[in-house]
Order: sequence, then C-alpha cells, then structure tokens
Amino acid sequence: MTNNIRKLRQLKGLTQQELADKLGLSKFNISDYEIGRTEPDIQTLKKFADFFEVSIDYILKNSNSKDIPIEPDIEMDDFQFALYGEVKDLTDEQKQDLMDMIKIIKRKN
Amino acid sequence: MNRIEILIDKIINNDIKYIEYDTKLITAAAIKINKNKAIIVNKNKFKDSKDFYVTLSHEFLHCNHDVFYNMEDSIQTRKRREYKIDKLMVQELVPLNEFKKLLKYGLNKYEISEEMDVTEESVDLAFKIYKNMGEL
Repeated sequence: MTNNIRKLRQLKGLTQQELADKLGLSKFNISDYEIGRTEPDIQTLKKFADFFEVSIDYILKNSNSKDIPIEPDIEMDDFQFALYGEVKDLTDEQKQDLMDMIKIIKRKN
Repeated sequence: MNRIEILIDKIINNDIKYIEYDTKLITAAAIKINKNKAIIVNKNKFKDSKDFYVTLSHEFLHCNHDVFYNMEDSIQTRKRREYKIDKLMVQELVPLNEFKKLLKYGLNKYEISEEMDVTEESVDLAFKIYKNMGEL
C-alpha cells in the first residue's frame, strides 16, 4: 500500500524517531508504514490523521489531493542547514520555519 | 557602501543566495539544498546593525567552509560544527592581537564591543574561545 505518511512527516520536519515518539510508536513501525512493508491498523491511522490534521482518506491516498497545501518535493536528505543561536533540539515551530525557508529557496532555484 | 552591504555583495558574488524573509522564530540560517547554498535572514529580529553584521558573517562562514548539519545529526555534532564556525568568526571579527591589547588596557566588554564594532556576545565568545585555545 502506498501512502502519504512520509510526505506528511517531512512536511513537518520530523525524523522517523520524532514522529514515533509523538505517536507512541517505534521508529521501525514508522519506517515500515512509509515503505509499505506493513499497513497501519485503523487506530494507528486515526492517530496519524489527528496528528497531521488530515483525513484518513488522505493518508491512504497515493494522490494529488488538494485538501492540504503539500509540497512533496522536500526530502530530508536533500538539505543541510545551520541555524543561528544556541544549539538545542528544534521545536515544531522552528522546524516549520525551516521547512518554509527551504520551500522559498527551492522556488528561487 | 556600508560593511553590511559589502558583505551581502560578497555573499552573492560567492554564488550564495541571500534572502530576507519574515520567519516566525528563526533569526537566520544557512541552508544547502543539493549543491545550492543560501542565507536567509529575518531583519526584524536583529537588535541593531552590529547584531545583523555578526550574524551574517557567521552564516557566510557556514557556507564558505561548507559546514552544515542535517535533521538526523545529534546535538553534539551540531555543537561541534557551530563551535568551528564560532572560532572562525571570532578570529575574523575579534582578532587575537587587537583583543589582547584592549584587554591589557583594561577595557570592559561593552567598551571592547564598541572599539571592535561587534556585539557584546561576540566579545564573550572571543574570550571563551581564545581561553580554550590557551591564548589568554
């Protein structure tokens, strides 16, 4: 089964481990779901849907659904960065800032 | 041209994109996407022109020395890389000989920052780094 979990995770700037921690799953679960090795059950799908604020249908669709503004071409391996200021774990808001910055650079390239 | 404009020119001439953007939290970042490098700053977040200049210099050094990290890198790795850039920045903006001379004259942090036209935080950083290097 193909799904949008990887895209949604990357859009939020989360690693597999971070997403797993937020949802009470293991990193291996996330990895398996993303590559389609195993399928999440309905409870897990609901967790994903609530967390990403999208429908279960969207998660399962291998789609170009327009219901959220997704820019699928940001891959975690694509970019490196350095942020000014004290080095500590990035908050979700900082990650969102970073993703926005990357989108802007990509548009300008 | 003032020194900030000169630095921005230098950034652009080094094939690095310079982008001003209204970020929510991040003051400045150096970002490398594939082989393309960019510096993004939110000008509204700087205290003054010294702060802007020091930050821009720091981000330029990241790009120039190709020192970045990724989401999977540990805090330790990030700290090590930031330290490397801080060290280069201090050596460039607060040269040791001049710094030593001002310390010898008994100038305080504020006075040194005024004399060298850098932020007080840079003076603190210089003191820490030169001390770590065994120079002070």
